[in-house]
Amino acid sequence: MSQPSITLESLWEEAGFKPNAEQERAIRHIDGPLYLTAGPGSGKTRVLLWRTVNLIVFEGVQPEHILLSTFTDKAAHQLREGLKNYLGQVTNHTGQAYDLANMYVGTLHSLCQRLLQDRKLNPNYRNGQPLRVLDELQTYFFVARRRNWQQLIEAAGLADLEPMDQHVAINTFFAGNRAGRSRHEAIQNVLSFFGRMSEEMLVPAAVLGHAPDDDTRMLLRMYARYRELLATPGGFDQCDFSLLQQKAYDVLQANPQVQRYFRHVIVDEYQDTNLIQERLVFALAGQQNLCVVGDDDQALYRFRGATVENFVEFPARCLRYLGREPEKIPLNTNYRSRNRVVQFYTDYIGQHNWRKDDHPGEQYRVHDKNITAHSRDQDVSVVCTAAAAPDVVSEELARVVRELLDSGKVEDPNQIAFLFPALRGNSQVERMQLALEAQGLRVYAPRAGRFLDVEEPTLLFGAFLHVFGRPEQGPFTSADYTGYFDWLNEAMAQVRQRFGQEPELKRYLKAKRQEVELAVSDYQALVATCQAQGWDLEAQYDERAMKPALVGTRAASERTRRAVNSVALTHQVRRRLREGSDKPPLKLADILNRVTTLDWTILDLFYRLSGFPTFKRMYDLAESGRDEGPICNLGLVSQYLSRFMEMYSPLLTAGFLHDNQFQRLFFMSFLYTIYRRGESEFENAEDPFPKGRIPFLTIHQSKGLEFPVVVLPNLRKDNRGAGPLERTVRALAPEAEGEPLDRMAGFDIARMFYVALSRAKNLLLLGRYQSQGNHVNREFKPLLDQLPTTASFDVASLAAMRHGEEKPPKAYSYTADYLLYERCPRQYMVFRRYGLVPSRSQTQFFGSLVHYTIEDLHHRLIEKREKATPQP
Amino acid sequence: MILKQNTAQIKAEAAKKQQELAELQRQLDADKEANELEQYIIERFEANYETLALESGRHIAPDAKEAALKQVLMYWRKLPEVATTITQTEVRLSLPNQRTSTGTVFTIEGVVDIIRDNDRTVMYDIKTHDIDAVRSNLELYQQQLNVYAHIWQTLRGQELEETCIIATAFPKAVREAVALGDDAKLERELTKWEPRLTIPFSQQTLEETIARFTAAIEAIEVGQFAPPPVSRLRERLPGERALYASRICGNCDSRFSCNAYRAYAEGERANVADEFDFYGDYGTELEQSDWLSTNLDAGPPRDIDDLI
Repeated sequence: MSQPSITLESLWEEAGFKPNAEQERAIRHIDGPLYLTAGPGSGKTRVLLWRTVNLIVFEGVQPEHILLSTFTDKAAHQLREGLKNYLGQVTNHTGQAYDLANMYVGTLHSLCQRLLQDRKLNPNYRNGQPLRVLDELQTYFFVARRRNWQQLIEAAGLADLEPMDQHVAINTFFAGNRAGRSRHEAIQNVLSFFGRMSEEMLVPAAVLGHAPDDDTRMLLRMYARYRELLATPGGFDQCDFSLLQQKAYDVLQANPQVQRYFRHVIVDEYQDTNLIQERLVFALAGQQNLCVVGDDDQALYRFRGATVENFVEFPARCLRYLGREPEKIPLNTNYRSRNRVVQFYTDYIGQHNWRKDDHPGEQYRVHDKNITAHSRDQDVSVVCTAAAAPDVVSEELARVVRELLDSGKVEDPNQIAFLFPALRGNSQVERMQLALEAQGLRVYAPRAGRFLDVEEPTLLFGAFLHVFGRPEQGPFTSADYTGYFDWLNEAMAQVRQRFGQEPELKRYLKAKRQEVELAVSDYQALVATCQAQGWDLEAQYDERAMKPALVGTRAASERTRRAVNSVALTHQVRRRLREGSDKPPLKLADILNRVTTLDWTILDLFYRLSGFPTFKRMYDLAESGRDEGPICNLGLVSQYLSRFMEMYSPLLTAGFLHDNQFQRLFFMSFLYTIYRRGESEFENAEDPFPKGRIPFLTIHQSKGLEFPVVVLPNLRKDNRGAGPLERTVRALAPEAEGEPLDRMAGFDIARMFYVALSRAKNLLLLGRYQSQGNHVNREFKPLLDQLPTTASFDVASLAAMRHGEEKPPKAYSYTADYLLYERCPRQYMVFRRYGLVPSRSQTQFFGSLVHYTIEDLHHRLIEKREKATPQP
Repeated sequence: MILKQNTAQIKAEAAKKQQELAELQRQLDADKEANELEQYIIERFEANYETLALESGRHIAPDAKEAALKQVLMYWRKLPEVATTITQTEVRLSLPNQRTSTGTVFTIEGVVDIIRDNDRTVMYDIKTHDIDAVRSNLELYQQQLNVYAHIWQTLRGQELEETCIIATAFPKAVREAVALGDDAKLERELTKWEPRLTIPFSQQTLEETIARFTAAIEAIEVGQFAPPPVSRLRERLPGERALYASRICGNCDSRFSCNAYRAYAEGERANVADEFDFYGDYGTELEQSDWLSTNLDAGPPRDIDDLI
C-alpha cells in the first residue's frame, strides 16, 4: 500500500481551514496538561477536532485511548461526526482507515456509564447484569413512591407530623417563609439536595458534624436513607445520574492501572463541571495528558452544581493533582460575530468588579483573555430601542423584526432568536409574543409555558380523557391541583368542541370507551365465576378443570369467552408446562388478564387518533413543509406515552383498567407529575428550531448556539443572593475554595448576559425598558447610552448575512436514511426526522439482537486467534 | 525377514493408531471448543437481550427470541470457516465529500458486518432475512454492497476479491421441514442450505446508486416527504406475495394519517358495517397473541397506591 505523504497543512488546505497562531499551537500540543481558554466563536470545536486528528493520524494514538467529553449529547454527536469527516479525508489519501467505534466520545455521564460496563476498564463488571441508571424523571418517581417516601420521612424524623406539615418542614429549608405545602415541592427539593450532595462527594456520616442546623441534619439523614433505598434493587445495579459518576470514580480509585488507560483526556465546556467530575477527570488523566477547554465567562450551571473554579483555578489544581502546571493557550479571536458585537459584550463583562478582596491582584475570572473580533468592520451591528415603557419597546422590536424579514435580510424567522433569562411566568415574554403576533409573526417557545398547555398535547390527552374518563377531583385546593383539573377540563372541552365538525371522532372515542368498559365488566364476570368455584386467582391454571366454567360465564361477552377457548391460548398454556420452559406455568390470574386485555396500547390509540382530521392536520402541515411545530409536539407526546409503557406496562389489561387504576396512575401520577414539573424539553438534535417561527429561548437554552440576529428585549435580572444549597455546601465543606457567597449571584448574572450577547453573528437588538418598576441592570446603562437607536437604524444598511460554515457535513446512513427514505419518504419523516416512537416494531429488536450476538462471537474468535499467535 | 516386515508393519500400525488418536483428540478439542463457543453465544445472546430490553423497554415474542438465537447458532454451525477467519467486524465505511446539486456537502455511511482478509479479502454483510428473499431483491443488495465495496476499494486502496451476503434466516424448505416435524427432510434441507450469496460488482449500478442516494438527500434536505402514490401500494414487493400496502404500510404506525394508505384502504374495505374497520387493524391474530404472551409477564403494576 502506498502512503502518499500528507501533512496537517495539506489537510487544512483541503478543508479550507487557516488556523491562527494560537489555534495551531493548541492543535500541535501533544505532551502534558493543556489549558485552553476559548472565548465565544473562537473555533474551539475545530481546534479540538484537529488536535484529535493530529493525535490519531500523526502521533499514532489509538482512538480507543482517547477520551473526548463535552456537555451535551448533541455536542458529542457533532464532535463524533466532525471527527469521522476529517479522518475520512485522511483515509481518502492514505487508505488507512480509522475505527472510532471504540473511542470514548460523549458526555461525562455517558462516559461513566460506558466505563462501568466496559470489561477492559471495570474488572468488577458483572457479565450480563445490566446497570440501570435512573434519569431525572425516573428518579422522581422512585422517590415519590409511597413506600420509599415514607422511609425518607421516617429518616427525617417527621413521621409524627401530618403530611402537610412534613412537607412544610422540608420546604422551609429551601424557600423560607415562601415554603409550599405540597409533597411535589418537597420531592423536588430533596432531589436537588441529594444530587448536590452526591456531586460534592459529601458522605452523610462524615459531614453530619459540620451541619450548621437541625434542618441540614434532617436532610442529610434523608439523603443517607435514599442511598440505602437505591442500593437495594433486585437483579440489577441501580443508581441515579449523580451517583453514576461516583460509581465510576470508585472503579478508578480501586484500579490504578485503569487510570493510565487513556493516553489523552480532553474535556470541553470544563467551566460547567462539578466537583466529582473534576476528581474523575484528574483520575482518568493518569498519563498527564489532560486538555481542558472552556470559558469561565460562559459558566451557566451553578444551579446544577457546577463550580466555575474548576476552570478558573485549573493551573493550581493541575499542580495539586498532576504535580505540574499546564500550558495555557488562549483562543481569543472571535470568528462568529461582527466587530461591534464583540466589543459590546467584552465591554459589558468588564463593567463588573471581579477582583478578589483578599488578593487584589487576583480575580475570580480569567481576565487576561483579550478577546478580539476577526471581523474588522465598523458597521452598525448593535442597536437599542429608545428607553421607554415595555409595551412601546416590544412594539418597536417587533417592527424592526418585521422589517428584517420583509427586506429579505433574514431568510427565515427561525434565524432571529429572542433570549430571556427565564420564560416561565415572565409577563415580558407574553407581551413580546403579542407584539410579534400583531405583526403577523409566529413564535416558537418550547420552554415558555407548560408543554401540556400547547394545543397538540391538550387535544391528544383530551381525547384520552374521553376514552379513559376523567379522574374524580378531590377536595384539595392547591394551585397545582386545581390548575391541573382546570387543564383536564379544558382538554376535554377542546375535544368536545371538535365533535360538531367531526362526529366520527366523537363516535370513535365512544367506541373505545365502550371497549374499556366491556373489558372491565368481562373481567369482573370471570372473577365472579372463579369466586363461585372457590378458585384462588394465584393458583396454577388447570385447563381441563377450569376452562369449561370460564367459557360458560354467561355475563362475559362472546369475544372474551371465545378468547378463553382459543387455540392460541391453549398453545401458550401448554408451552409453559413443557419441560425446559424458562418461565413458570400460567396462573389463573394470567388467563383472566390475557383474555380481557385490550387489543391496543396507548401508543396504538395515539396513532389511530392521528387519522381523524383534528390530528391528521398536524401531520399534513409537516408533510407539506408549512409548519413543523405541531408534529414536533406530537413526537414529544409519543415519547411520553412510550415512557409510561416502559415504566409500567405496555398492556392495558382489564385488571389494570378496573377500579380506575390505570386512569389514576396515568392521569394522577404520570401526567400530573409532568404537568407539575413543567416538563417540556423538546429538542431536535439536528435542526432545533422549526422553520417559519421565531424562537423564544432561555439564555441557558441558547448556550453553544449562534443566530444571525439575537434580540434581548429586557436587560434585567435581579440579584437574589446565593441559594440555600450554596450555603449548605459551604458549611459542610468549609475547606473548599470558591467564590464568596455574597458575590456569586452577581457574577452569575454577568456571565448569563455575556452568553446571551455573544450568540449574535450579525445583529444584536436590545430593548431598553424604562418606566415605573422597570429598568435595566446597572452595568448596561453606560453602554446603552453609546448605541445607535432602532429609530435611526436603517435595515437596508445591514450587511448581507454570511453563510454559516462551522457545521460539519452531515452523514447519511445507507440503511437508516437512504433505504428508509426510498421505502417511504413519509415514514422517514415521521419516525426518523421527527422522532415519533413506533408502537410495537419488533423487527429492529430482532435484527439488533442477532447482529450484536454475532459480533460478540467474532470478537471472541479474533481475540482467541490473537492469543494463539503472539506477535513476534 | 518376516519378523522385520512385521516390526515395520507394527510400527506403521502403531504410528497410524497414534495418528488416529491424535485426530480423535483434535476432534474432541474442536468439539469442546465448539461447545464452549455455543455456550458463549447463548450467554451473550441472553445478555444482549436483557440490555436491549432494558434500553428499549420492549421485549420480543418467545418464538421470535428463539428464532433469533437459532439464527446465530446456525450461522456458527454452517459457516465456521467464515467465523473463524474474519479479521474485522462491524467495519464503518464512510464516503465523505459528496455534494448535492445545491452544494450541500455530505458523507455516505455504512456498516458492513465482517471483512475476511487472510489470503483474499471478502466483504460479508449479514442479513436476518432468508436467502430466497435476498435473491428476489438482488438488485437492492447489489446496490448496497457495490457502494460499500466502492468505499472500501477506492478509499482504502485495497483490493476486494468478493462481496457476499450471508442470510441467516432459515430458508422456506427448512421452515417447512420444521413445521412438518420431518427430521430426515430437515437434515437434508439443512445440508443443502447455502446461506451465502456472492454479489457481483457493476460500475453502472454503483454510479446509479450514488446518484439516487444524492437525489434522496436533496429531497430530504428540502423536505419532500409525500408518501408513494397509491398505485405503488397496490404493487407486490419483488419476490414476495405481499403487497407494499400490507408489508410496508401494515407495519407503519403512521398509516392512519397517510393519504396514500387511506386511499388504498378505502378501495379495500372489507367490512362496510363497521365504521371503524380501518382503525381496527392490530396485526394478525397470531401476532396479537405473541404480543400478549411477551408482555404479560412484565404485566401492569399491582400496587397502584404505592405509585401515586
